[in-house]
Amino acid sequence: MILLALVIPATLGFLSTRFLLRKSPLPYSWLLSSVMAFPLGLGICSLVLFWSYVIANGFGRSLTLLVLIVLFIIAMGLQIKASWGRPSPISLHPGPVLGNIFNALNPKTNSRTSLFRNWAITLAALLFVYLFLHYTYYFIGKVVWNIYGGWDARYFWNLKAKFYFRVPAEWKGMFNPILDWAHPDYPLLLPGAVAWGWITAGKELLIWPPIVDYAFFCSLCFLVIWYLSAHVSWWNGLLAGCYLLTVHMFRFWSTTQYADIPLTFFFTSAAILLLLAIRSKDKHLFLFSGLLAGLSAWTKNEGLFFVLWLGLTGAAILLRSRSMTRQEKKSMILYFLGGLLVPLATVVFAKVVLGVKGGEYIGSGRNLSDYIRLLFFDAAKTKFIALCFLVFKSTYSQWQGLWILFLAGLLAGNRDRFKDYRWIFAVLIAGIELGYFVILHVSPNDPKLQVETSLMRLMMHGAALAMVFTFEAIGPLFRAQRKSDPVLSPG
Amino acid sequence: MLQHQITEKIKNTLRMPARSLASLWHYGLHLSILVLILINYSPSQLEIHPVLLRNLLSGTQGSYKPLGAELAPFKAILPQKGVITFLMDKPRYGDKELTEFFLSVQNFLCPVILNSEPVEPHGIIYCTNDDIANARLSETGYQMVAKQSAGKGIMIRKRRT
Repeated sequence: MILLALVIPATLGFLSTRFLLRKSPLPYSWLLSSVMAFPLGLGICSLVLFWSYVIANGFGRSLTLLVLIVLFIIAMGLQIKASWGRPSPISLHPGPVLGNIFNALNPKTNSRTSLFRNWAITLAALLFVYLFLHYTYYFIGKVVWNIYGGWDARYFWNLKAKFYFRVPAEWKGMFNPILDWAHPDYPLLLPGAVAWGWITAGKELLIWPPIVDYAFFCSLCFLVIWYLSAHVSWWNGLLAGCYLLTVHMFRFWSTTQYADIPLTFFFTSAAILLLLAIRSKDKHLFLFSGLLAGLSAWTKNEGLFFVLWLGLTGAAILLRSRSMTRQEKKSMILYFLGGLLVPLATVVFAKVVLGVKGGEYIGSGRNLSDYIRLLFFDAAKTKFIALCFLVFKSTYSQWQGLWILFLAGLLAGNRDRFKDYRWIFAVLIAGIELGYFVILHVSPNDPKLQVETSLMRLMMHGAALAMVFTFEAIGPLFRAQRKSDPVLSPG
Repeated sequence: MLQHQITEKIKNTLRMPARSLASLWHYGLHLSILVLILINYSPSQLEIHPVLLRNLLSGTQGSYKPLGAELAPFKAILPQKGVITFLMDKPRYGDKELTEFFLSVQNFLCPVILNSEPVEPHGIIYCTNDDIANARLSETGYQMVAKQSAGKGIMIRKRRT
């Protein structure tokens, strides 16, 4: 049954991405669809699960299975209908990376430059495969010895999944303010994804939460590779993939069953798709970006800040654009909001109707003047938080120099690093960090405790985006000549 | 014409070192990232335990102890829903070990909700021995109704006289 738990979300996610990208000629879209398959599929499962429980309460489990199986059949049917009579999209061509490997091994390759390029990409691909296998070994080792994950996973994320799974009629217990540590107003993508696997398997499979973790991390890694390979060069993409696999923060937190890696995935993917949507003026990509941003809000509260930043950035660009008519701009904003609608409405429903008491912000009993005082009239606290940001970002043992490279890319990267809306990434990273700076000020918890337990982890949410920006800003190396994308000059 | 050519030549000569520096910086960044990757790579120190892995892959609990499994004898006699008080040797606030145990028990007994405050009509007393349990019961206004083992059992709130 665990196979079903894997196949249904993966197929739903893959086919939904194919459907959303059907009119968007993105390079290597099959790779993007594969990258999106699990995260998007698990996001859909989680939303269906939540609403099934809201509607059917004690029969929530059965309704979830029924709805998802129906959705699965519809998606398969639509796919078969769409591809009926068309030639198979699966090509026997070895693909760009494999092509480079074949060319590198082929003694008849004429050009010395292309031979060198092929060898370099071949070596980068082999290094990536080696590091990926090494990471997988590390992941299994960690999981086997710590199957219940970190503190929050044990007593918060997976506890909520148990409320969904054990006695469906009592699922609303997870919103009870007496329940310690469980933040009743928190979004539920991860508990839903975990509960989905358990419901399908019929028991609390210990291995399922780590599978969810692994799926999100691999998707994040291949998302970074996809974007950079498709828009910079395969060398840059593979190098970024290798680097991501060696950064301790990503490696460690991907084994803890926390929601931070899923959130990082949704932040990164929503930002990338917004950039591509703005470049191509493709409304379907706006819809997709909105959906992913909405799923980030359904993953963690921090996602709400991100939705705000992403929406404001996108709206500002559209409003300033002179190459689009007012009608086009309106339609793109509506598509973005359309993507946001379901996940964001779910978050609002969970917060306003179910988790109304005992929340950290909503239901905390504080008013606007309290927040203003916390934010602007505590200089010692502000200084402490700013220093922590500085120290934590430059910790080599955690980041392996990622933020220093980001700074180098930002200040002295390629001369085209902000062209073609590439600045969006830098602006969003600044927005994410600023959001956390604010949250640390207004959090009801002791700032020292908050910094100790969560600041480093919060910094990870924008880190994959920082990596994407950095590897684009340092300029392409071993780039094959292609006319389709905005090209970065090498120096 | 000649002046223009000389100006262009001077400009190109000035541009060349700048271009070389930019190229050096560009290749240097790629190279330094490659070096960072190779430096940061370190073999995993954790061995994958074959028995534990087999348990996980077969979908059984195997050698893994469920969180809060110490409370297994209570689970059978507790209702499947509602809120109960859970008392330990001392109030758990500020004590990380007691808090972790409390949360593990919450995990095990879910969807029953545990309240660490002595306010619910019934609950569980889970102390190290009878002496501590009796002291805790009298200070919180409960009485033991079903003893499970030393210092542990089901309790109900005493009626106020």
